[in-house]
Amino acid sequence: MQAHDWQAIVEGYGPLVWRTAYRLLGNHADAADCFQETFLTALEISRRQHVRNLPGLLAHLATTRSIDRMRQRILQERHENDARDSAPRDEGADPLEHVEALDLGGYLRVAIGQLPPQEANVFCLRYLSEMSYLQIARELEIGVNAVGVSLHRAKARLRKLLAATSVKDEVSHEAR
Amino acid sequence: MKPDKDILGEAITRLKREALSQQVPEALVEETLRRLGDAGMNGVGHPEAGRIAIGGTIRLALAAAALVAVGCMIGRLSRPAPVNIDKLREAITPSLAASIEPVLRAKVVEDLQRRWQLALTAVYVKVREELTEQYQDDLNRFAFQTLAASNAKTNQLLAELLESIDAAQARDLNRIGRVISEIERNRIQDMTQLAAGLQTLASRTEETRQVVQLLVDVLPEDLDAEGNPIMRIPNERNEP
Repeated sequence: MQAHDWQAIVEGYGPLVWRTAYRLLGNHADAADCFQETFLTALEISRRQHVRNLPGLLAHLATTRSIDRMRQRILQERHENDARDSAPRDEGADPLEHVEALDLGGYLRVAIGQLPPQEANVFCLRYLSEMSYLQIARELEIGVNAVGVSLHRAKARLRKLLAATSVKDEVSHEAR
Repeated sequence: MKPDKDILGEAITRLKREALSQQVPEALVEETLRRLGDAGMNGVGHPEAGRIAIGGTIRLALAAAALVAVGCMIGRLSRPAPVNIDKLREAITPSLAASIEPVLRAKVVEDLQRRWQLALTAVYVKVREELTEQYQDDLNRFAFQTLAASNAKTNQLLAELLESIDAAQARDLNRIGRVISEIERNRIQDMTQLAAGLQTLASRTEETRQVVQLLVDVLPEDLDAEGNPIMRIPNERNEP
């Protein structure tokens, strides 16, 4: 087991973890939960095995936890929307209200939540945490080529999803 | 494609910019450190938490050592008296022999049967292979001899056939020669007869022509009463 000064670690890498979680989740409560889960998971991992790159591990854990939580939130919202759709609809309610409430960053956040887990992880580590292909490959324990392929697929899917949301946006403006 | 790429780049930029202004709440850091201390981290800055963790570990280690010592004592006190090996051997030898002998006998019989069976199988296979090989050799030799004899007989028959064909051809040629000679002889004979006939015919034809000419030339008044022609000088007749 490695001996780490976790107080220094939390103070040193806390901003990194916080930014990663907050970027993907967009609210304090969820980001705070992810922050704590990230450090607790890192502690467990450091007890089991030698950690070579602690910042990379923290970024990876924060990204994975944030994506999981975001996915849960999307599923929960979908269930709520389904329940709302099955209930009698309010005449004054706008169906595009939820979409209009999001800006471009919010669209990207929702789109990342719709990606497959590996593609979402690779995309976030590359473009949000700015890690190199080699670092991502080491953290996710996959090949560098697999990182490239996942990144390419993730970008293609995100472009498609963002294009779809931009079309929705235009439709909503015209509807107004 | 370019607008989509711009949208993605712009979205990434906005998402990154969104979190830049966010600072980690102090309360969250404190809460996280507290939870890490509860989880038993090393080297945390809170001395009370470290002492609590170390004290708990020491107490746990002492309790474990005491438990092991008590276990060892109980084991030593409750162990059975040493056994006399000779007596034990004498006691268990007959029953062991009685129980093992039938099994061993059955095993040996089974093993022998299996070995005999394997040996017989091997001999059977070997004999069968030798017989098969010998049978094939005999068959090949017989086939070779039969083929050679049949070839000799065939050659002899062919030679006889050729000789008979030659003899028949010679006989036919002789017969044809004789027939041709006969035909030639008959032809010459017929030609001779025809020539004689034609000469006879020609002579007779000349006489007939002279008679006919005579008859043409003789008028009724030139005939006598008996019908014989009266001989005259030809110029007299043509005179007015």
